[in-house]
Amino acid sequence: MDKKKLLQNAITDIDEKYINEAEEYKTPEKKHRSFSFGLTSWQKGFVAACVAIVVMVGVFTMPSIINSAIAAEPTPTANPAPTPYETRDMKDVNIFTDYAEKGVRYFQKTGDRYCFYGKEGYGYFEELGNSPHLPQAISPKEFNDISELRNGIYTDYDMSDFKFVCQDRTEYHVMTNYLAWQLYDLDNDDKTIDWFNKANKAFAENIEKTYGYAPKIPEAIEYDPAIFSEDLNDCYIGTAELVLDDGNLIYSYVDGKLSCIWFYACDTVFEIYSDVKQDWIHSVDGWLSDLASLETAPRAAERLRSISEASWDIERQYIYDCIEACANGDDSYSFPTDWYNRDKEKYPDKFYEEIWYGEKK
Amino acid sequence: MDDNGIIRLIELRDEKAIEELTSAYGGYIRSVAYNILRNREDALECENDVYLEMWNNTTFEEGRSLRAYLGAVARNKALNMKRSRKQEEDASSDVSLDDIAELIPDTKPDGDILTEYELTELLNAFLAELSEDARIIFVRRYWNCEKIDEIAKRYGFSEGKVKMALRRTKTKFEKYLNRKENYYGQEKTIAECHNRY
Repeated sequence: MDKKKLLQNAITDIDEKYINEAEEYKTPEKKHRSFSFGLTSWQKGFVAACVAIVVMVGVFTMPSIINSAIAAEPTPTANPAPTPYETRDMKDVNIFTDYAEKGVRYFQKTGDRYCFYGKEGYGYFEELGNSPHLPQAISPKEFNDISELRNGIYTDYDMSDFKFVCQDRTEYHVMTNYLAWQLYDLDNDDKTIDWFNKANKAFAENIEKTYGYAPKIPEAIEYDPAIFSEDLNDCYIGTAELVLDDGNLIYSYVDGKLSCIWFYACDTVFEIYSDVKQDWIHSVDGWLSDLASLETAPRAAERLRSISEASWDIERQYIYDCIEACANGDDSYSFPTDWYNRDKEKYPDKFYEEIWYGEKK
Repeated sequence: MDDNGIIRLIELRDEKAIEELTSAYGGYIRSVAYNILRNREDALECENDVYLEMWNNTTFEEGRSLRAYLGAVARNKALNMKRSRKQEEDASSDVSLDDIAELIPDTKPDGDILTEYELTELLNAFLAELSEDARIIFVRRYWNCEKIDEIAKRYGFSEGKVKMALRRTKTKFEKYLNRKENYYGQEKTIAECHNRY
């Protein structure tokens, strides 16, 4: 049986409604995931004012829902009022100190939105130019109530189980106890996955042992082992106090210090620095040979070699540039805005937008 | 002129029909043919063949999409032209069915050979389950034979999204083909049937 010919002919005869659909499809405008959906401007202002009042009251009358690990009692200067940050440039904000002190476990910039996740809750805020407001913390329940996310992962899990959530364009990757990854594509309803590979099974058993219940398995999870391999069992995410994701670089911090950096590109996570190894990868070639010998990242090594041989010239160059800069200890990569600006100068706009936002703005 | 008007002209054997077809669908037919042949002259030749086919098909079904029909004819003509000229797959077009053709099982769960019609039905059912984005990307890639960057540009997607969508669709298709109930509605996998015998 000539399968190719069979398939070719079968494809030719697919239902014409799909052919017409592809011809007529127009990319819808991206939904702006803001805190207010479909509200009028005065309603938005009213809601924002209510939230601000609730937060202010909460600060003085209840333990902070952002931070239960702060050693010192909140002082008036730690009051999460947005005003002190409004006029500060992002590059002047010491992300690690500011948010780590407040017990923020995870902080991520995605597009024009900053998300943070604290031990007992999380919230998000939008960047206004280079001056983000201090995040307004809300509880997982409140977050779950936001209609736009109702059908997402957050309604299915107790968020305190999560170490961090990484958004990659339209997809959410959830890391829990560094043994399991779930991939949700929020732009479609495709949810099929095999949750229990051996690592995930072990994770589920751990969760049950620790929390007394087995994690509820959503009906549709897509786990893509090409993206995150079991190699991550060796990573520090599980013990990290703070994880930052600025798009392509993922940082984890333990005891307030940078413990590991991963570079995420081409659907693969590359570990490029770890305090255990006490070293950066000093050159791409050196890294390639190191990767080949590393038991922890054989798949990443293979992937990188395939990238090098591919015709994705710009993307390959981008990866090399990132690695070289990190290898030289260029800590400007710690600040998303700096990297954002430098990237923009160097790479064509089209490439830049696709790398950072995944789609044309 | 609308589709019904064109069809009427063909039925009346009025050669103005060709003029109207060219005006309404010439670009579309050429693009379908070109994506497969990757040669302008061949695509034009193919286009003419499509008009001839349409002219000779005097029993066009009412209610059918003329555009889809013309596209399917163009596609068939182009594929046949390619085969007859023993053209190797254009590496630059980067459209290969090999990676999903290999997913097709040798036989159905009952041991019979999978027919072209049955595979089309499976495909249609499978496509119905996909998200809109995944489906249009699949159709553009394998029906329209468009390159990844062409698809991305057309819809304003990133190339990464297109690649990822194709990869996931392929994985889903493999699972879909391996589920017996998709053939007969019963809960068995092909592997289980093979093991049984």
